Amino acid sequence: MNDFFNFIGNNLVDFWQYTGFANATVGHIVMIAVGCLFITLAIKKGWEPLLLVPIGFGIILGNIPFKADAGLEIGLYEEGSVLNILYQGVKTGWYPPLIFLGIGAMTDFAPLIANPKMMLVGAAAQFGIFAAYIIALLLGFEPDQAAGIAIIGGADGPTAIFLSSKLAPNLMGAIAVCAYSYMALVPVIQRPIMRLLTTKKERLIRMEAPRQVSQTEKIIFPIVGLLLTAFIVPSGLPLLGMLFFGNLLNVSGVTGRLAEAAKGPLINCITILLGLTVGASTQASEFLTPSTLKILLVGITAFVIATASGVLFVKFMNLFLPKGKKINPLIGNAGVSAVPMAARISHDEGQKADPTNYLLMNAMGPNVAGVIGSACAAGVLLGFLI
Amino acid sequence: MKKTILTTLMVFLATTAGFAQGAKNLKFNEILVTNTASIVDEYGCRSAWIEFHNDAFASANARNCFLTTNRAVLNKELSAPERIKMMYQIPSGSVDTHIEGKQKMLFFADELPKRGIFHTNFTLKDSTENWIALYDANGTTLLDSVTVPALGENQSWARAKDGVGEWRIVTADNVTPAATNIVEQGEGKVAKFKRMDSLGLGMTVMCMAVVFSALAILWWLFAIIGKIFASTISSTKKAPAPKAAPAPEAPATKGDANDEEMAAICMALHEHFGNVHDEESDILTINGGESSWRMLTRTHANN
Repeated sequence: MNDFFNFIGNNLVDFWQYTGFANATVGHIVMIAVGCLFITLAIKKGWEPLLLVPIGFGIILGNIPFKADAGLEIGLYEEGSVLNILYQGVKTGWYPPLIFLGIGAMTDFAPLIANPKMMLVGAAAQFGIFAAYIIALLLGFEPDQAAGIAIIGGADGPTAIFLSSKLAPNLMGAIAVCAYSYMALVPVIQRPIMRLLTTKKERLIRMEAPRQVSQTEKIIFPIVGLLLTAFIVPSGLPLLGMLFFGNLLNVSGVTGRLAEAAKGPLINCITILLGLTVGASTQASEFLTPSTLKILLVGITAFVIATASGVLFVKFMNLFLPKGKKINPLIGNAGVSAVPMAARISHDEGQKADPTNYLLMNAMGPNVAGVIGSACAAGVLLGFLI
Repeated sequence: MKKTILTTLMVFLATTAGFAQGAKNLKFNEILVTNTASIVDEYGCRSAWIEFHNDAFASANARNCFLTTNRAVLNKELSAPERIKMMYQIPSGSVDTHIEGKQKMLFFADELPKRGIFHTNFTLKDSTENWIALYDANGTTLLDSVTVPALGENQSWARAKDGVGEWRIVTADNVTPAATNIVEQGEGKVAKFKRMDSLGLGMTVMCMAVVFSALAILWWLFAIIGKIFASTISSTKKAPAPKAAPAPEAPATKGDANDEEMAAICMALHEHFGNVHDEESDILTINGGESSWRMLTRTHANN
C-alpha cells in the first residue's frame, strides 16, 4: 500500500514539475500582464483591436511557463512545434508581403493620383526612420540592428517585421510589438505634435477636393508605380510587388473576386497568424532586456520625428505654393503609413479648427504615399546592409 | 486569332523560362588535372576533378547529362547515339544529382564509373591541354565547354567568379573543390558602415535621397498622366449633349427624385445603417432595365 501511495505521490510531483506554476518566473508573469494590458487597450479603448488582440493573446500564449527540457515540442522556438511552423511565416518573412497584398487591395490610391505632389510628403515623413537609425546607433546598436529598429518610424507593422526578420531577427519580437503598440497610439502621439507645429491660421487652410480620377489612371498607377519603385529599390520587391498587385486586383474591374479574397479572408487569416506568432515570440527571456527598453525609446522618437517631418515639410512646400493652392499642414502627419488612422487624425484636427473643413480625402494622399515610402525605405536599408 | 497567338507566345515564354532554370544553368566552375595533394574521393583516392556550378537560384538536376573530353562530339554530322557512345552519362535514379541554386557538384575523372555517380569513364591528361564539355540529356545540346591549359601539380583552372567570371590558374593553396571560388575575406557591409559611418549620417542622406527620388519621379510621371486624363475628362464633360430624342421617362416632379430614385436611396440607407449586405453586382443604378427586383415587383403587381 505504501508503495502505491509513493507511486501516486511521485507521479503527482512529476506532474507538478510540468505545470506552469512550477516553472513560472517573474518574467513570465510580467509578460502575461503585458499581454492582458494589450487586450484591455484593444477592447476598452478600441486601439487597433485587430492587431492588439492577437498580439496580446500571443504574448500570453508565448509566456505560458512549461518545462522546457521535457521535449513537449510546444514552444515557439522548438523545431517542429505547431507554433514554430506558424512562426515560419514571420521568420522567413512571407506574412508581411501577403498583408501588403491585402493592404493594396483595400487602399484607394485615387487621392494620391489626383494630387501626386503628396508623394513628397510621404517621402519626407520617412525621415523619422533615418533619424531613428542615427539614435539607435548612438544607443549602441549595430548598423543592421539599428536599421531593423529604425523602420518602426515608418509606422508600418508588416514592413517592420519584414525588415527586422532579415536584419535583426533576434530583436524582431520587440520591434514588432513596439511598432504595433505605437501604431495603436498614433492618435495620442501625433495630435500634440501637429498642434504644436501649426498655427491656427494654418489649420484653417481649406484645400480643394481631389479631382475625379479615371479608371485608366487607377490601372496605370500600380503598374507604373511598381516598375519605377522596384527598378530603383529592387530589394523592396516583395512588399512593393504585393502592394501594387493587390491594388491592381482592386482597380482592374475584372478581378473582383480575387480582390475580395485579398482584402477579406486572406488578410484576416494572415493578420491572425502574424499577430499571434509575433506576440508569442516575445518570450520573457528574449523580451525583458535593456534592448527592449531602448527599442521602445527609439520607436517613440521615430514616430515623433516622422510626424514632425511630415508637418514641417508641408509648411516648407507652402512657401512655394501660390495663394489658394496652399496645403493644410495638418495632413503632413499622414505621411507616416498608418493607413487610414493617420489620415483620420488629420481630418479630426482639421474639423476641430473648422468643423466645415473636410481634410480626409486630401490626407489620404500622403497617407498612401507613406505606405510606398516606407516600403521603399525598407528596401533601401535592406539593399545597403544585407 | 490574336488570342491564340498571344496564348502561344505566353506558353512559349513560360516554357523557355522553365528550361532556363534547369540543367542549362550548369557551368564548369573549376577543374584540377593533377591531384597529388587536393581532395580525396570516398575511396581515399586522389584523381582529377571537375566542378560544376548551378548558376541559377532555382535547383537543377544533372541526371542524364553527358560529360566528355572527346572533341569528336563536335562533329554535327554525328547522330545522337554515335555521340552518346563517346561520352559519360551522369546516371539517373539518384537524388544526389540534384543541385540546389548557386551550389556546386564535383566529379572525379578517374575512369572508374563503377565507383559511383561522381566517377567518370574518362580521365584528364597531365601536363597538356584538356577539353571538357557538358551536354544536355539529349546528347546534342552543348551546355558548356572549357579548354583547360596545361597545369602544374594541384593547380586548378577556375573562374574568378562562380559560373560567370574569367578563367584563371589557381595555385595549389587556393583551390576550392565543391566550394565557392571567391573566398571573401575582410569586413562585411555592416562592419564597413559601422567604421565609415558610425553616426549614420551617410546612410540617412543616401536613403532619403533614394526614397525622395523614387517618389519624386512617381509624382512627376503622374502629374503628366494626370494632366492628360484631367483634360480628357473635362473635355468629355464640356462636350455638348447630342440632340437626341426626348428622354423616354420624364422626371416625376421638377427638382425632386422620382419614386424609383427614392426607393433606391431608401434601400441604400437601410442597408448602410442596418449593416445589411447581400451579393450584388456592385452597381447601383436608377436606370430602367430588367432585373430580378423588377420581375418580382411585376409579379406582385400582376397578382
